Amino acid sequence: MIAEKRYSSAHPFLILLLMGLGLAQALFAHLRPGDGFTGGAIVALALLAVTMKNEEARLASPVALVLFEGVGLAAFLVLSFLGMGATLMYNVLVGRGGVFGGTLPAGHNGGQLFTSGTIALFNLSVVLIAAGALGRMARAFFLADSQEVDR
Amino acid sequence: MRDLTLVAVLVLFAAGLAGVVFSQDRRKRVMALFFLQSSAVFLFVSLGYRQGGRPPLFTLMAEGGPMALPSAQAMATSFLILSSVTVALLLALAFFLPRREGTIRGERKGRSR
Repeated sequence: MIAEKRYSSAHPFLILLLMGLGLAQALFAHLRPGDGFTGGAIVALALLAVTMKNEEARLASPVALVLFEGVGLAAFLVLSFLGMGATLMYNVLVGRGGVFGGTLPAGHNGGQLFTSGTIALFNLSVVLIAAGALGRMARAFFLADSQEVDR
Repeated sequence: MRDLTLVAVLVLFAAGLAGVVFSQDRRKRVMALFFLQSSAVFLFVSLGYRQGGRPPLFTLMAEGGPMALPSAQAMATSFLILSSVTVALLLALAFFLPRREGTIRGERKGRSR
């Protein structure tokens, strides 16, 4: 017989909190410990909390997760080759103004969020890759757990 | 303070090593392995300790004063995520293999040890 397993649900506020925490890990990565990979793992936890409750969501095809991973990898590749005129992964956006290209004032300062150039974008693409990959891994565990014959 | 954290690292390491060596249960072995990894993470973070230092957040840098080493803590966060992923994978193996083999012990059936 197929074992029916019930998992408890997570509060939507907790899920939003996890999502925001994961994105903040990536965005603030140049100012403090933390990186895109840890942010992606936290976002994957949030996705896990969503799909844990819903049987249909657990059995749905992982095309969204594969899309996450593919878009993240493509963004990483494009960003890597953007600065190919100088060298691979050259930071083309830094110091140019715009959203991520702010200029850091000289001297002792508190660090500013939007001055990292392509570093934040690299970290955000790594968030997509890690969330897709770890989410698919968790999905595989759940499928194996719910479809096994119960002894 | 430094000595206390080193003692804690040693205790964690000894507990993990004892679990890996002496435990027969696969699940307990995996968790003991996590103890070993945690002791390494704790050692990294304690190496970055500075007397009276502030947490390594560069948004607080303007207030001055010494700061704990950020590189050790950055490595520790990555290391924690990686070790949690590997422990998840190993735990999944430890839980799914018994359904095939019929035993949670790491030995094969019908063979004396």
